[in-house]
Amino acid sequence: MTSDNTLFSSPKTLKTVMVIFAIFLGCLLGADFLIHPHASFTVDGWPEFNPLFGFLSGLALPVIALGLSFLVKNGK
Amino acid sequence: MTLNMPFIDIPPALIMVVGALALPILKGRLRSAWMTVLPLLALVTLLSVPNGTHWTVPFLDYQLVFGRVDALSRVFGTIFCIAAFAGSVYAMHEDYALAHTSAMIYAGSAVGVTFAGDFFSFYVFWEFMAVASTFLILARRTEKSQKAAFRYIMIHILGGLSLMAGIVLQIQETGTIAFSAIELASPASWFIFVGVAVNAAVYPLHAWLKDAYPEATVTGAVFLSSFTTKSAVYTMARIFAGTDILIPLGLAMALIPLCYAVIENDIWRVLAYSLINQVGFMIVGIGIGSELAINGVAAHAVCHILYKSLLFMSAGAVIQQTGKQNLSDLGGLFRFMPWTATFCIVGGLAMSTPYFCAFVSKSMIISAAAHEHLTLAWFILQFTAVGVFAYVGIRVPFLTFFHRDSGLKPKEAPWNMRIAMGFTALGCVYVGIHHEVLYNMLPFAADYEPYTATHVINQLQLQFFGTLAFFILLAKGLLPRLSKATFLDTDWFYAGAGRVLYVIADKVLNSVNTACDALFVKGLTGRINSFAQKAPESIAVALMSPFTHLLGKGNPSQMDVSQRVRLAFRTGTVPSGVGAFIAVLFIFLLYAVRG
Repeated sequence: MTSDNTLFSSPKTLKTVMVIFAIFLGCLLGADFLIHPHASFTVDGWPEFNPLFGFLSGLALPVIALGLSFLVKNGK
Repeated sequence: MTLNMPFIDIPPALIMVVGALALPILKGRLRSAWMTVLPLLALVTLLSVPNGTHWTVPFLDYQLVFGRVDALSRVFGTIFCIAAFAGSVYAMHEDYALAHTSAMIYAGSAVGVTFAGDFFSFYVFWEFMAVASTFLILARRTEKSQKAAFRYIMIHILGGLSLMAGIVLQIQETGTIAFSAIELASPASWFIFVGVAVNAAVYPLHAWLKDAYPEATVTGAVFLSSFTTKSAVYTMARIFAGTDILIPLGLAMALIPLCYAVIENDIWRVLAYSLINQVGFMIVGIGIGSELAINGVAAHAVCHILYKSLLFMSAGAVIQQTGKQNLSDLGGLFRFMPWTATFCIVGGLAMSTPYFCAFVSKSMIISAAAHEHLTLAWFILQFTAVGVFAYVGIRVPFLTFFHRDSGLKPKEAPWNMRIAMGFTALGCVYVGIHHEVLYNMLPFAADYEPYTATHVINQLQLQFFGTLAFFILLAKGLLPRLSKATFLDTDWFYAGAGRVLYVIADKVLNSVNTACDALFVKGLTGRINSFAQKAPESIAVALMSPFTHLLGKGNPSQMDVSQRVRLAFRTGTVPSGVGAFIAVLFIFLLYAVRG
């Protein structure tokens, strides 16, 4: 993912960024229990719905895009 | 929002369009200065004019209105002037009069469309936009850009024709040229809808955008990203607010181009597809048509112009400095272009992050969908909001400035480009923090608070867990590979239709042409020519043969007489008395017929 001459080339820097990101995501997961859901529909009032929906959306989109690429890729 | 100052009685569009005509005459810094002053003058005029109808001109039996000023037109006009100013600063380093003039006429025409109060003036400015924007693509002066510009102007001419047909029919039906809301029921309304939908890049009429924008100049692309689609959004909001068909069309715009953005390699094409995706949000909002939705559309148009032009600016700076346009050829540029990288990150974060502009606008549209109990629309909008943040807002800056060492060592962007990007980035943050400034300009009273704890936490969860998925897939090498392949879009259909039309024209029409040539030119004309040559001889023989027999000259046979007469006509040796006799006979016949 990285090589010698980029901002994240140092393993220490990369580890620091990953730890900060993980803590941030952990805080977001915990915050779900501190707020009132204000659900628009039933399902979005479930605990941790938004993190799960966001994560699954991030996984699903490239899968759909990959499927699309097989259909529309121009061989020329 | 108006300034407390005397009303400047000049249409802002006129300032920009007429003022642009001086740009080719001016040189160097004077031209750059004039180019940045024009949109500022237009903005001051706009802010000084009160709401109402201004700058009316009688024309035939109608009244042309160049200044219909209300909240909706004012908010779009304001952001157009700001975008024109930012684009002008961004383009200051270029010494290219054609591009600068075209850009300013294009921006001014967009302002003209916004404040037009009748269909005539609206259409004139609409077509000015199409023509002026074409030159921004031609200005790149490559073979690809010429072809792209040709396709661009063709599709916009078609859209313009549809629009004109609709306007003419509408005026016939209603007797008025007033530019106002129409129900999508009559043929006139459908023609107008299609014409506007082309400019709004409504699916499946969107392919021109991803085809043309990447072929424009670095500075031209910044202008292109701001005006055509947003002026069409304004027009849709003005005419077709609450039209249900816009909801599924907008959802298709939000979803399908986003998938293309994930697989595309060309950085500008990625941004072009994401532009269509975000315009899809606005189209959905127009389709919903509630006050919250229309407020969201206007607010998101403002925010989108800010952050999308920022992304186009930063991408343009990278392309200019590196000569590379594909994400697979870029990477590790943060050390060499730190300012550009920072502004690009701001543009990416501005898509959805709290305290950046689109956080306060996009969610209005999504909330409006929830309020109207449009479950599927809400889920698709949330899904695409996550996707565009992760796969455009995070992915583009990451792959361009971090990720891997591409070996490129470009210089930082010129100072004017950095100032333009900084100004726009400041706008993204300012609107995100002081959203009430934007909300006070919206068409309806904005009873919406984006900064509740629930909303902030929910949006952060959606966006950053989506980003987590992106980084996991990137680390595992599971993302669609970036290659130099091209991907077919709906323009495949009209390219195919063009080929079919060519075959029809070649085989069928050329065959008809050949047949007509044989029948009429060679066949009929030949026969007429032959008749015209032989008729006088034949008539003369017929007239003379009785006399020849009577006179009994060597008792010649009829054939001999015929041959001698024909020979005389062909060689021009007819005795003059014969000619005189025929003339007298002809005149006598004419007299007899007339009598």
